[in-house]
Amino acid sequence: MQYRWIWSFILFLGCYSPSLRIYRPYPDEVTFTKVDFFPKVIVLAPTEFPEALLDHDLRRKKILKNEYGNWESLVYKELSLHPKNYPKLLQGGKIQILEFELSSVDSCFSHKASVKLKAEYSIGNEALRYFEYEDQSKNYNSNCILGLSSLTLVPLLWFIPYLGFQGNSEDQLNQLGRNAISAFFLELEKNSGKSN
Amino acid sequence: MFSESDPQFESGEPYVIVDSIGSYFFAIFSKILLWDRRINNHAISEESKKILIRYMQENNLKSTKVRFNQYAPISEWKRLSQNQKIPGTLRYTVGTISLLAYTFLPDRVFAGIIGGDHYNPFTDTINVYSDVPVILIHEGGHAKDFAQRQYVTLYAAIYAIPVVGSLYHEARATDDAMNYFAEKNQEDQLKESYEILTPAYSTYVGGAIGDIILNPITTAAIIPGHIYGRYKKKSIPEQMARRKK
Repeated sequence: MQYRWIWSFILFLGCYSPSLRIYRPYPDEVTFTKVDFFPKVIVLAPTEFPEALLDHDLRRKKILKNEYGNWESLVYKELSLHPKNYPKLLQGGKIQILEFELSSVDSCFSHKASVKLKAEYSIGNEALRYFEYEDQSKNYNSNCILGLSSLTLVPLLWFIPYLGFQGNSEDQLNQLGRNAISAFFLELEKNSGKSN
Repeated sequence: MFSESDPQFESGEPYVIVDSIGSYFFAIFSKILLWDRRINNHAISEESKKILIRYMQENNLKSTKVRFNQYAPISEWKRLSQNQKIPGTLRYTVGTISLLAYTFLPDRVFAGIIGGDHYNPFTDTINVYSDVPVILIHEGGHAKDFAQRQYVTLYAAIYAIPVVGSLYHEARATDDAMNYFAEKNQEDQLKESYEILTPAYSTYVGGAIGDIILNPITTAAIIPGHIYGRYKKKSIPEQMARRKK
């Protein structure tokens, strides 16, 4: 009986060791060794992005840093990898991230992961454009339910598959973050004269 | 990381006798269980390989090795020693155990009876023997799942938790495969996902239930898996329509 508690604790640890890995997934990804610097493209962000708030049971809050870098890194990496998609932006432009919120909040028996992105950008001498993106995921992937299921064991047979198919808080944060970035870069491509 | 002599994607040399024995003898049970003759058939088509290669590229999985119907124990032991994502102490204990079966009871022959298509997190290698794209992407899903974890060894250890350990990892990989084909609008592959991956998943549920009541009911549990998979397959047009909203 004692080993079940140990295993449950290890399972908790597995869920409590999140990392933020937000980047833009792209088809036909190619190997690259260097991210170029684009002095004509200015990227401004209010904070060191992206920070994500994890607010789970027992009021344990945690701030995560993105392992793929801040906004400037992500934008320059995208421009380095796919310069043909941004012909106008490479001539000059400015991207300002007004707001970026990524959070995962447990309310014992429910969980909500959300992302909110607001940005302004201008390409060359064109007018300033505004971009807004919001998304969220509500489900039952909470640590309370995991803990209670572990205590009684049998509900784990339902809850673990549910957790797996929904993704834990880390998975949801990363997926929402990637969706937000993908949407933003698609918008930039569209207005940067990407040829199809 | 990879080179001309050690490419990321490698195929084993076809040996008709070995592959035939593997496919027509050792893999019979797995073919019947999942009701598909391509399971562990040791003859992966170029088209199937391309599907997995594209998935790996799209998901930025640059360090994961893929072996198509290949037996390469020396190379795998080298990869184990070089995998810096896993601490050395664990690499040479738990990681070693993970490779012993591969080395002395090769899936290249025994897939279906002992082992089969799988992802090894200690060597970061996908080994596949079935010409079934959904299974290939499912294994790719494991690699992608592990690539996103900060503590790879701890995450791998969860698999060993009694009763439910495997359910989480397998759900992540199955979910990723299904979503991948749905995003690509490949209804035929999505149908196949329900036909093969759902019953395959139910073997893990069966194993879990079997662990609880100490009876081997894994085989019986696959029947509801087949039923549920085919039921979900019928609602694919609805699911695709909901995605587009």
